[in-house]
Amino acid sequence: MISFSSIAFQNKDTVRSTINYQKDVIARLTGRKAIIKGCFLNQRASHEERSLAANYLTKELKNSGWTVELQKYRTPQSNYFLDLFFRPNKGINVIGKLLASTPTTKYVILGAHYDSERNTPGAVDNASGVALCLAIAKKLQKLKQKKYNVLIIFFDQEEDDEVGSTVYVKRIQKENVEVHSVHIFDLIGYDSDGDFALTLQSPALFLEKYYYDEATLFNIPLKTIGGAGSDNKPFLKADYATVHPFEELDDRTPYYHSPQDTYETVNFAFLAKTTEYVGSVLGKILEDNCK
Amino acid sequence: MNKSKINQSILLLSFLPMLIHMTQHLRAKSYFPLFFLLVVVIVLSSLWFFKIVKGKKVVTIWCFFLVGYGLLRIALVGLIFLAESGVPSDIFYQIDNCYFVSTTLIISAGIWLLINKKGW
Repeated sequence: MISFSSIAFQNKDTVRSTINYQKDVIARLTGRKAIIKGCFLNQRASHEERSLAANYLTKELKNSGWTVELQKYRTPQSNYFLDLFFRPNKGINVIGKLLASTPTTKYVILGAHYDSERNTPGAVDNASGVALCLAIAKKLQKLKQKKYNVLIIFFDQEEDDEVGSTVYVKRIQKENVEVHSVHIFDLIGYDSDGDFALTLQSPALFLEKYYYDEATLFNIPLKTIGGAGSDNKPFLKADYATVHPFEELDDRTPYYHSPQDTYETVNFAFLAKTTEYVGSVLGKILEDNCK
Repeated sequence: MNKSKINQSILLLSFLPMLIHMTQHLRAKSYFPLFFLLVVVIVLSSLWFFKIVKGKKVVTIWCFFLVGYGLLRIALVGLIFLAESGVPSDIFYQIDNCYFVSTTLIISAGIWLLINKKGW
């Protein structure tokens, strides 16, 4: 049996390849590199731009050996008055699926939104969360023993009041999907003081323990806060066991929702170490009682 | 085609933008625009059916409704550009050529029917 930690991020070569891969992902999502031949994304706000990003993410997940489903949705606007004047919201959630080693009905869900606010490349918010999930997708694919099925979901329209994740939560409630835990990654690429510290928002108690135990091994300072500030909101509202790790509360990106939220402001060493750490936490969750 | 036929055609066509809008919402299982249009149509039909107002007056009310709806669409654009940062991207990018063309058609139909109401 191969243990997660042995294949994950233990050597410098692996860390280097993670950094290179994440640099490529963020460069493509922020317009530094073409997302498809001859096409550069300066933002991921309009439906057309988001569709291009969704196609790219689909391709990346498939390349990593995941099966992919697109949840295309149309949903009413946030209030009845707006419904009289505007068409319904239109978006795409990209859902990657990896089955457990032995059949089970339980799922571990990892999520990150791939849309951005208007007029911002959205490097930290939230190409960083997407890059973390994609790097973890590659590692999990190689993991031989998995106790639970894993879903990686790239949510659309988080910036429009979490439309994509709200639609997804309604779907899993309707289908009675058994969820072990939900891990939402948003704003996870900025660390100016180099202490690799993270904040955990509203973690379920058992998830908080996993995260704190591994943080000690990785020498990562952690702080827990309450509330909901991203796609964790609809999951918390529906009472799923959820955790939302993000940048240190006192050292958050100063370029939030601004045109300066660019590739250059991402701390790739921080992102890679966080990926390593989160990967290790997930390894523990997926391998627990598997041996 | 005489003027009365033209007016009748425009009156029928004036329902088209709202019917299209309603259909788009029905596909998203959003029923409020359908409910709203039904209420308007039922109220106007009842006014005519129970002879509370004459047929021409019902058309006039419908014309005012069309013009008011069109003007509200324009006012919303103004509001959106005034408070741009708080506006959801999905709504922001719906303000395109198609939005302005349908708004213009709605207002034009309302004004045309109002001006030519004597020709009925």
